[in-house]
Amino acid sequence: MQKNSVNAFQKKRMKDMIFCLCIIAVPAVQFCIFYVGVNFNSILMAFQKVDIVNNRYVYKMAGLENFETMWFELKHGFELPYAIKNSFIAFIVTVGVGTTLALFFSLYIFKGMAFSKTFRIILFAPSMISAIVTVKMYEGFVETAFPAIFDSLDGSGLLSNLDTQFPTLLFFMVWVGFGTQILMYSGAMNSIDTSIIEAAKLDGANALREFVSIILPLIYPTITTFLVVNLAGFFTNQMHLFSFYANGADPTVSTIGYMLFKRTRKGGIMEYPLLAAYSIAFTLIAAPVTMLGRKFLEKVGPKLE
Amino acid sequence: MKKSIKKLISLLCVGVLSAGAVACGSGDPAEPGPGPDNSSPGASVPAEDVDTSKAQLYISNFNGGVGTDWLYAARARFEEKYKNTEFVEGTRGVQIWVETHKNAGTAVADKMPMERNEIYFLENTNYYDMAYTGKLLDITDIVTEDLTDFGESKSIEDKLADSYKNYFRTPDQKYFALPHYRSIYQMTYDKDVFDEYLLYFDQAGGLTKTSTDSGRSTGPDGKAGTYDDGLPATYADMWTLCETMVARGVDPFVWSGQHGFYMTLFLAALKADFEGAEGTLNYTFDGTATKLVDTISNGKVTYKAPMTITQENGYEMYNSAGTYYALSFADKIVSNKWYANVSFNTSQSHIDAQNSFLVSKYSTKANPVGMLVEGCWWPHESAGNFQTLESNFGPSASLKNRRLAIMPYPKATADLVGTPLTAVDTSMSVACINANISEEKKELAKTFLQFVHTDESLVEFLKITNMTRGFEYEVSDEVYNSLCSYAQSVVDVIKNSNVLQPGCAKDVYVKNYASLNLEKPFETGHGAHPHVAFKNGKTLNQVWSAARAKYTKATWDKLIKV
Repeated sequence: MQKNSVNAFQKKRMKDMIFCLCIIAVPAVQFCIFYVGVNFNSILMAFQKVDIVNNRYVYKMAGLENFETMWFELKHGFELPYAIKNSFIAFIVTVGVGTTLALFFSLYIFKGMAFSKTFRIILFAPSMISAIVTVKMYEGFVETAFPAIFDSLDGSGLLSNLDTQFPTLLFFMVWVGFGTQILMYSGAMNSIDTSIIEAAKLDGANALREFVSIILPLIYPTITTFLVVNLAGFFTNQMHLFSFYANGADPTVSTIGYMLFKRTRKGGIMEYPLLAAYSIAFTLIAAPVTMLGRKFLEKVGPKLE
Repeated sequence: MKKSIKKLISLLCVGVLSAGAVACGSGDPAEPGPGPDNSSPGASVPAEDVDTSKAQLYISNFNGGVGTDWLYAARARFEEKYKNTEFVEGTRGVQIWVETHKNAGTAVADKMPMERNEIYFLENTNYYDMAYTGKLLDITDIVTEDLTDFGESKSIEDKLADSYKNYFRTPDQKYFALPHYRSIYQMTYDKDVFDEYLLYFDQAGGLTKTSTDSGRSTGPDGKAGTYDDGLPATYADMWTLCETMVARGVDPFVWSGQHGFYMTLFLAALKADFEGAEGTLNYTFDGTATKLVDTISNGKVTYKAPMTITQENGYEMYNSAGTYYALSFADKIVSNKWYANVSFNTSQSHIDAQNSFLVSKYSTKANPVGMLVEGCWWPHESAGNFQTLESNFGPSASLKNRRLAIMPYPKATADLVGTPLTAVDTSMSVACINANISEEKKELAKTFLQFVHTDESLVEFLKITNMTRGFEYEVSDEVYNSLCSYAQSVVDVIKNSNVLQPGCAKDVYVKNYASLNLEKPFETGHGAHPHVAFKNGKTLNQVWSAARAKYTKATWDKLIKV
């Protein structure tokens, strides 16, 4: 009797095991091919070059040649210095201006102040509408409507004017970035126990004190997550340049993410090893910086006492 | 009950996940399947069912400016011609499926080994990436054999100009693709506007003539009685024309503000025309350059002594006077505001620019526009604009009846008047066969590819698209007279041009494809495009200095793979 029940139990475990294996088989295979395989190939490629032998492309080991070329492009290249500078600016603006304003708007919505629902729709809209549609609307506004309103622009749009082109793109990046941030921040704010806020009010805390001492510490983990994600995405931020210009953005407004994407798309197989070297170098920078950044943010953030 | 629901949900999840695996298989290219959509917008043939009694042929076509109508026409003739032929055992006749898309050739190439399509007509390709990675079928046999089965005595190779042969024929004398359509950036002018405002030159240099008047100037070819009589022969003439246009209430130019590269590629075309055959040095690095800038004083260029160009000093070609003159052309137009306002509006697409040009003639509010900077495929692309105009202004507004024409490039300097026109084919378009094609269908695919390269098919292509393909073939007077004004001018210009395919089979070109494209000499760091730089107050000297300093000996040695 006992033996039978053990057998039945083992059979059931076996069935469960097969079932679980079936469930994870497809994603596991997909992970092996499209993550492990692809990344292994990329790492290998960074140390290779493509040569032509008997009218066929052949990959040959090239040591650190690609990394040397990368270093040379950094010093003497055309687009890369601009891309690095712009990526920095985009990061600073996203973190400094974007996050601050997103917190402000989230608080506004959380407090249910005048027109907060309208603001919520306006700020969420870019996240709900297709990116291309949003880009086209924005482009139409800054290129056609703006010059029509302001005669001083001499008919020139903000994107076609080299002095205003980059700030206009930055503004767009910050604006479309609000949706997700506000959703998360206001969600985090809504999860705060109202009794804590009420208690603070009874203790005489004004709105600023309430925000700094109650709300901010309670939603700080969410803010940290966003800052860490931004740090990790430093080298992949395209600033929506592809949606605006496809492959044809002005190199002076390029970012590292855009430059790599464009070169992969346009350059052809001969460029792949160099681009793989770029990816490895940027990962070697981004990974430790992101982890250190996270530790730092966790350490320095406001604490709830 | 709960368990059953759990099991059901789990099974559904497995089913959904497994469905993704279906796409992983390469599939059998010979399997008919439901067939790709062949009823794309503009298609003249409705969707149909698979006829398994016929051999199936799958074609992928880039449905951009050239469209797909030409392919539908060729398909109909081919299916009729071979309706009783057994290409594949057990079948009689052919059923052709056309898949249309707007993907760049480079993106399509990545998927080719997994696709069912057997023949491709693509643009923006990297031919050698495709050929040297085994994605393309060797078609040397059908390119080099005479087309006697089609009643012709020449081979396809015989119809290819040297420039195309040098690009498509690999060093071991093989062909893996053929050129598709010629895409040349140019100026289209409106003959009606030119007639109304007397914008044709007389022999004394005044603008007093119409297109039908005698006594017009000889134009860039320097010969009287030819297609370009009365048109500006030099850049100086062009400036006179633009000044006069503005004085008479005509906006000289319009172009797409959104696609700034259209204007840059037009400048590349002016550069190529100036450099002539010497322009091949930009990618062969094998020959003598005679038009490299030594000094420039008050716009007058002094050339360096003739210089042998090799792979080691290829950077010298960035000092070409052709680049300087092309930049000066853009600078002059922009700094004098010889353009319609919308030309710098980045929300103004190419279709919008075409419409601005076409509709301006009828506008009572805006000035008429004299010239449109565009790729030569644009009228076919602008079919919607023409339809709207025709419904608003009657049959005279149709493409067939509008008196539009390509303006041959004026020469940079007077001493070049009378030299042959050089045009540059920009789109890297190809016609090719997928290497994954099954053995039993190779003959069918190769026969179709030959079929679309017969003179009859090439002429049909011209009649439908108003464009030429990269081959030399006769256009009879009867056909010529049946063409619209624009297409006639395409034939005139091509007949009097050397068309360059800007690339070659040499390893240095193949390895540096990305660095040697036509736009590179115009990347200066002053905005994405030279005309944008000039619009933003940059001077010709600033832009030219940046252009010529693009590479030094040190950067060339490091960045160019040899």
